Amino acid sequence: MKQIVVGLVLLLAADLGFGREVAHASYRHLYSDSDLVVIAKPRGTTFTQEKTKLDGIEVLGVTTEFKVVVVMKGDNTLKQFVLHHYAERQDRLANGLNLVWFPYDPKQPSASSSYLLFLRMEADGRYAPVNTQADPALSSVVKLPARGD
Amino acid sequence: MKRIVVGLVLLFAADLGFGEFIKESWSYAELYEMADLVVIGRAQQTKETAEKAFMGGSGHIFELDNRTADGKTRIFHDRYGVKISSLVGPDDTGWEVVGQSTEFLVASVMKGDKHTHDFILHHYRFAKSYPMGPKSPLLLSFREDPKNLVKFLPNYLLFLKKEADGRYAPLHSDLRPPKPAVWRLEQASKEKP
Repeated sequence: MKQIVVGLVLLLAADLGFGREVAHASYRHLYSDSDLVVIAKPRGTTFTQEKTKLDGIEVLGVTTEFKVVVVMKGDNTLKQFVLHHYAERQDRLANGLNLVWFPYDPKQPSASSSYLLFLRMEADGRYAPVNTQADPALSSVVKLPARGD
Repeated sequence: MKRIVVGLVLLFAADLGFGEFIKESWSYAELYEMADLVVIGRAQQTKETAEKAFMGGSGHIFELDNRTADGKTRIFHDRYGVKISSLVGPDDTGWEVVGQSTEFLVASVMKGDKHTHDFILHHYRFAKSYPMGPKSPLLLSFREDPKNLVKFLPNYLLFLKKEADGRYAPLHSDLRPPKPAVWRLEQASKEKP
């Protein structure tokens, strides 16, 4: 009986936690595949009209403006850019996407964290996480401690 | 008059910083600009060296100069030959430190030699237990990996300066308070909108 219960628990865990394939990439590949690698600070996020699905999960289009702190690869003259990413329409208990959100208080812009971002340019001039839009929090977008600009 | 003012300012700066350039904080842009090597990497193994020294509040390393000590005043000199009679820290003698060498595997080179696959990080640990204060140096320690489970080790972003012996050191000199140039990377915020 005990073995059956353990087996059922494992099956349930597998179904809940490991059902979706998650893309992983080394930092070496992220860097080489990127059009732009920057440290930057968010300057506000807005929802767009875009509605789509990522790995079968409904998401909403989001853009976040960034102020560039330092360019590590790409256009050295870049001062700001727009990141195109997504937010889930509904909270999920498991098997959710690993999306990013950038807290920003316009009254305290310097208090926001800095981020290391590995990005590719899209056709419309916006930038997107380089490896996948479904799980940028796992690799393409890295949070750094807050510092001065 | 102008010379007197300049002189007073320099004296004040020297008194505060013991001859070091005083700056409250460096931005990532400044760290990037001044570094010889900027990498993302994972620590592998730390080895203790025979190096023993004293560290000032800015992170500068000083050696006790016994030849000029008169029994009451202890003299320290840094690697550039600048001599001072006291350091910030316990009993104005700075913090006693021991040299460490940590082997790093490079995941990605952001600045510097793109073919760098590994390097030795030269850093320090306290030689004894000190009470921590706002001016205490922020020294590094890294989790060991005895079973070679490298994929579970954290990645670090490092801004580094090359030393004469080929090792690299964190870029942190000239800072008061000290600002580390080695950051453990975290996942981005998954906070909900």
